Amino acid sequence: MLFNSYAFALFLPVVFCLYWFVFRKNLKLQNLFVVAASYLFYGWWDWRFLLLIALTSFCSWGSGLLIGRYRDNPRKAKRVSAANIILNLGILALFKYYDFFAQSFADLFLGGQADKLLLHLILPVGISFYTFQALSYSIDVYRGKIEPVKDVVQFFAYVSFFPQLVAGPIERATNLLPQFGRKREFDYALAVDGLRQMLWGFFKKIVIADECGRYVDYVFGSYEVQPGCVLVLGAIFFAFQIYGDFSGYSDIAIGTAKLFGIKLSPNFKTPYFSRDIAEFWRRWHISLTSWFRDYVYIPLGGSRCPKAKTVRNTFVIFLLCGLWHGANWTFLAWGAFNALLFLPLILSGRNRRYRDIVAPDRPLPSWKEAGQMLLTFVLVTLGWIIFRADSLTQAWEYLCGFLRPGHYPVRDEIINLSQLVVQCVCILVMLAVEWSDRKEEHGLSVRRIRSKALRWAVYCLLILAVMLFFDDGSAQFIYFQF
Amino acid sequence: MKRFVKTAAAFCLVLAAVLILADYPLSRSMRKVHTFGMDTWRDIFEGKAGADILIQGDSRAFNACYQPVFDSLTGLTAYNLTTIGNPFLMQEFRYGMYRGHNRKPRVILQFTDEFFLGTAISDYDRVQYLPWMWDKSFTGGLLSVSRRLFLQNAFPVLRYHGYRPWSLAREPRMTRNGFYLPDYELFRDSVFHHPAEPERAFYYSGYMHDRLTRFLRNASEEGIRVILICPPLHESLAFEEGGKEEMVRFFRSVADECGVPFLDGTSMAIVHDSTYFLDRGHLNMKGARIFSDTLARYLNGLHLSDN
Repeated sequence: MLFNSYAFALFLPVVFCLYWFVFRKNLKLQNLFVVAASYLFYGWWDWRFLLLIALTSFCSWGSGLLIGRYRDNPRKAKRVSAANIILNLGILALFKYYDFFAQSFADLFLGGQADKLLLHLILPVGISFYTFQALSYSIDVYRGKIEPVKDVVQFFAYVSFFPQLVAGPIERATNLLPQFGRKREFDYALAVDGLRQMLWGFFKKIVIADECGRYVDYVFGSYEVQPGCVLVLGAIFFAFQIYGDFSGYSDIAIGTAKLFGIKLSPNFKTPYFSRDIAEFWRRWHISLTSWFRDYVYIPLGGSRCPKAKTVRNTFVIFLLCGLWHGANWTFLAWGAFNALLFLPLILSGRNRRYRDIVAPDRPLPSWKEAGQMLLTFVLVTLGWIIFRADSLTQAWEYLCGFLRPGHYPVRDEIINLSQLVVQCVCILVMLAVEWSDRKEEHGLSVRRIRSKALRWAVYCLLILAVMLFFDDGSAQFIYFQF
Repeated sequence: MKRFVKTAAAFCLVLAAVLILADYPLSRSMRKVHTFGMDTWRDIFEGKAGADILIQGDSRAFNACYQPVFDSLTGLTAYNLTTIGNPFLMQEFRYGMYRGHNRKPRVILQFTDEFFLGTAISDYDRVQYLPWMWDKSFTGGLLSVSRRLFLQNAFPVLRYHGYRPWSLAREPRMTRNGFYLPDYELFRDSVFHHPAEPERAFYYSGYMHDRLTRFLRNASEEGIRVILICPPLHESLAFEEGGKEEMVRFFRSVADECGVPFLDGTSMAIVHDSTYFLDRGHLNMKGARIFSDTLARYLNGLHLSDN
């Protein structure tokens, strides 16, 4: 089920009412209801893959119990943990990466004849997200950071909680699991803030991402003939598309969870206001980058080791991050590109220079800060071209096309001037709102608007925009495929 | 929780009011947009569509008629009322709206094709009539044609979703005389060289048969001459075995039953020549001139201008 669909518009109020009015008094029943609603939400897409989520959940839950039982026998505990990791990553590898590696192998050694090797499996939506979430639990239990959970329903609710099931944030057991273990009380302020965050998420998804997406699809589909100015705009629009799409999804997910009294981890913190790449990666897809940091980068030695190892670790984490996004050389190249941008900072010890938000006590950034943000945005956008392209060749040709002369096609059907102006205005509105609320959890915190009437006017305006731009749920979220 | 429910309910009320208030000026501004569909609805509501010859049908009719030919050869005024992408049910509804605001035509050129008697009302280009959803007679009529379409278009503001009013103003792609913009001509070759097209089937129900005959009889009773027409279709347009013949036979029998003339464009010589076609099912400007010329001469034979 898509957040931007009529089905979800019906699903959410019904689940909300049942959750608070019918199942509120019995925690177990309430959790069971969360599992049932989440499975319905996921099964709306393809019910067959519910078995896969159930298998992942059950194995991780079982391994947690076994690890807990073998506390006095670290070797056995390690074996159980390793078995669970292998199983989960094995499922992920089979569905997501097998065909890619088989095809690459065939290209290298069999002259491209991969027909007999390929399995052509459907990629289950959100498999990377829930697999990583389930893995984090068993690893944390093994590390002794969390006690194993005995209640299977509580654990299933943790893995399958519908707002974040298909595209994150990738929750840690330490944050989410205990919330399903406590009785939840309705919190008015939290619920209202959740609705605001959802509205802001819908604005970013529908008004920014989907509209930019139309433009981007058209430009990337005809990049060979487009003039350089259109290609540059296409790349910039993709930067906003992917941000609006993914951070929009995260906002809707976090906002929806708040309606149910659950607090999810933040996933984005105004990443395009970053002053360098290191800061960008602390603000972009936080739940994934922190996952890799805690479970891969630090165990490998992180940056507190000889420089050669630091370089290796940096490349490992960025290549894995790229590969996590999909089985394609473009994602690996995107990871490598970001590693190259990151390395100078980490080797010179300047990767943690900017930990606070930009211009915390000023309404506008300094010229230097503005320049740094612009440069970071340009570098990130260059990386997005590799990310968006179908192949490395296409990415290279797209970049070369920047120098192609030609006027902007003002009367084009898709990328006409009025469309461009409207889109730019919408992006500027988003940037202005996010800038003004950059200290807050999300763009629509509206703490500074004290008048209720004015606040409601803002909400109505955003809802009007969302309704006008809405496109029948046909536009999927980009991160579903990951 | 009580406070939340109360606040949510109050906000919904405010939002509903805002949506209704916003929809009105939006609809008014949308009425000024120029697309073929919107131009036609505007003409209908402003009473500017009245003509001696009324052309009714779907995109086939839209492309088959070149109005200047009618004007010059018959000495009568013609108006293209075709409803692109929609079957008879919707065409009949539009004709009803036409009659509510415009003078009675002398003759109706009622085009038919394999989709003509379908009962599924398409939402193709539905934005064309959205600005007139404030008109009671319109909404009542739409509700009687399709409840689904009515509900889909009833929600203020949301009904315009995905149409990007700012962009629509820049899309006068279809002119009243057909798809004459160069890119459509380029499109032609790719369609003709595309080998696989699904075979067409002609379908109708007893209900639609009755509805069509009632329409034809009512028109005749009012003194309006109706000519039932099958437009020329290129010979390569694939029908199921005997489908095209069955379609022609059916409409000929309906015409006979109601005492109206029937013109069969599918048997014209031009159906063998792709240079008269935009694609397999639609005439291009050259074809439209030829076919309109044939129709105009036929109309002259009826001595309409003498009446």
